[in-house]
Amino acid sequence: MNLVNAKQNAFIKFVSFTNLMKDYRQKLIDLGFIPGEKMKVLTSKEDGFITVLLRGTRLAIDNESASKILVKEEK
Amino acid sequence: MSYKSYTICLTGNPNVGKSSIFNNLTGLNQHVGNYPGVTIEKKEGFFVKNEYKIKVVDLPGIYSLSATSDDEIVSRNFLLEEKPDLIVDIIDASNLERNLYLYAQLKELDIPIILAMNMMDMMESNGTILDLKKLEKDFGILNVALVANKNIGTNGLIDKIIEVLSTSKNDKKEIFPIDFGEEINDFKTKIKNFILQDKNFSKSLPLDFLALSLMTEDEYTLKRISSLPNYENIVSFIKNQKNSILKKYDEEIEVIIADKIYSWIDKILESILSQNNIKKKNISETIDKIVLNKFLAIPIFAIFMYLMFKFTFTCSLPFVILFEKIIDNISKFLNNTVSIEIIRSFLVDGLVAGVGGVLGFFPLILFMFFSIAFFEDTGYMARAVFIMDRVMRKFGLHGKSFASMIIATNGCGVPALMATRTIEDKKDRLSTLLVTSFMICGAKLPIFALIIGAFFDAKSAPNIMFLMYLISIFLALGSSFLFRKTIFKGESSYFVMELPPYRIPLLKSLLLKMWQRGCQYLKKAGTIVLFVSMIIWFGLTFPKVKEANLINLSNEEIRTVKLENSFIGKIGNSFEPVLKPIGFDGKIGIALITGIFAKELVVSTLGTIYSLGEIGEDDEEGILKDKLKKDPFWNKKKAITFLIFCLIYMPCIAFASVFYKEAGELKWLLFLIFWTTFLSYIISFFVYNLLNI
Repeated sequence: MNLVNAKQNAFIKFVSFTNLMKDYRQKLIDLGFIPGEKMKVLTSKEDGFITVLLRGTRLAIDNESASKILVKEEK
Repeated sequence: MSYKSYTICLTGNPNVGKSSIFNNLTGLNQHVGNYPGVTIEKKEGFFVKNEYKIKVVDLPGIYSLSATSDDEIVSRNFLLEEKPDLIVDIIDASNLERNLYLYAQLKELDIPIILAMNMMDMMESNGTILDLKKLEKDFGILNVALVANKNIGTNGLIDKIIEVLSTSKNDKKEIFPIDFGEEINDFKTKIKNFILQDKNFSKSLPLDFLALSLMTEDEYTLKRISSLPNYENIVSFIKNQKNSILKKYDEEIEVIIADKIYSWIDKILESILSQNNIKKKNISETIDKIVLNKFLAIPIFAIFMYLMFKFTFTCSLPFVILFEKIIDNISKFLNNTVSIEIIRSFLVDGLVAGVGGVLGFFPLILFMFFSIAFFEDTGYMARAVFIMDRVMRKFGLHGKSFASMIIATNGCGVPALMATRTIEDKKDRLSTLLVTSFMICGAKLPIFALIIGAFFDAKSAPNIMFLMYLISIFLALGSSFLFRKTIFKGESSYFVMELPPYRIPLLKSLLLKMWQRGCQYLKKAGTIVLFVSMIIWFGLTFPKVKEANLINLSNEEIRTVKLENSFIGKIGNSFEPVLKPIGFDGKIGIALITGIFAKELVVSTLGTIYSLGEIGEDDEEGILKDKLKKDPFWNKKKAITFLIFCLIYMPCIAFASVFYKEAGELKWLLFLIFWTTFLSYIISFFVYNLLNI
């Protein structure tokens, strides 16, 4: 699934990017978007705006970008 | 005394307290740097300690050296090209994982680094214990603990800076290097060997950084080596090597490098961090669930903005009245004490009316700056940018466009134009540049405060002002929507942003920000406004009308004859036929023309014009607001039309010149002038005529 569909308070793992520009990819990699990296969905699209907690940082991401970030829910 | 001079720079992620540390280090010894070839303001200052004179450069915040936006490029280029003697990497101690990533890249630059561990109090309140001695001893990372907003640890940082600068820079073996793995290390060595084949290659960039950066095919480093004779070979080697790594690990090298860096960070943190039993509830997460809620986000934002304007206008009112009284009393004093008419007129009608008209609104400006600093320091402003991103996108703008608009409202359009450098996409950026001129900057604020204060009661004044802000936002969004549908077709770029934790702002920090920004307003009043006020006074006073021609005329007629005969009066009159359809006369025309030099001059020019009118003893003295109210030419309809015209019409010269620099092409400047002039006239024409139906 992509990040847009992730639910609030869910723990997810980053899988990969789809169709992202090189610069943006690099930026997200630098911010810690590395395959297998765990994060927590703080607020989801369903509830308003997408924010995640990744390596101790709260990141706000727009819906368009979030749709290009593939994640897997952690059980 | 001759000093040993060094240059150090402050770098780090955004929102880690760089400016506070810069202020603590340099005190009042700071000025804005002016670097040739770069287009961003970087703060520069110095401090002296014993025989050392240290120049300090405060750079824009970055997350890594792979810069994408213009502001990041400025920081990256400074670090690589200017080669400071020392880097102070400022770290948010409560968020070490993120912040150490930049450190890991900086250490490839072969420049001594000190980690300034800021916000230690927050880290401790989170229940985290950090062994800084171990960090230095076991990992060779020099560091200093700080709480910058309370000015704790500054002396320790200064001592550490001096200690490092005074130590010889002989090769120090890295105690705990990043383990990139055999394959990447081998790749790195081969790239270095390729580069070193060219004996003429200037080692202006550190080879380790160069090699790592080339592995990711970073555009900047590729460009830097493009003059090498074996450039094509290097590029083709890198591509082949990257492909074989991709095949082998099923992962791109950029990801592998970042992974290795984060593993290195994890190992350090495992060793130096421990957690006590304090479990603090994360307030920021709770607040964000409300503030970023899909039903509540926009209403909460609107309420905050409204409260900000209500606070600004209501609380500043007694001080504005006090300032106006003081300025009025100065005029009266000068009128009573200076006997030579021409000098009296120059002082009262030129200087006091011109500069005083602008200074009268200084309290209002301070309150506005204070309330914006409050929202910035609490952390809400970052959320506002994010919330507005969704709205902005619908109109072809970016969330960061909103940040620029806030900066324009925060004082001046010039830094707002510069702030657009954080927007990566060119179309988003150009659109933002073009619409920033519609914002009500600190210079337009006195015009609005004057006219609203003159024609609307104190109860409705904040509402009218709020309405003006809404109109300015509507114009900006509408224009951008039109631009994106016509000249800048295409999608808006991405938005990713770190949200800082909510904090209770420190009064000292708010007052400091308010004062620093307020000083810029005062500086403008003391320079350009003063200078143009003198010219306006001269242009309105000369040539003198012969006394014989004024015999048997009423005071009102004398006023008109003098004004019409003056240099500026003649210019104003020539504009009257154009301005008449929107309800303006020559006097307003003059004020609007001077406003092109600086918007505050609209107020100071009106001040001079109305002050010069007072020629007879029976004329009442008073503040400009009252004079406008008494002038039968003005009414509420004209006031509203004037406000709208001033909101839209062409920006000041400073704005235009920076706009040209930022947009990069003359055609955009010409387009901006055309668009703002056209729109201001057309809208004012419709508003004025609709109000008169």
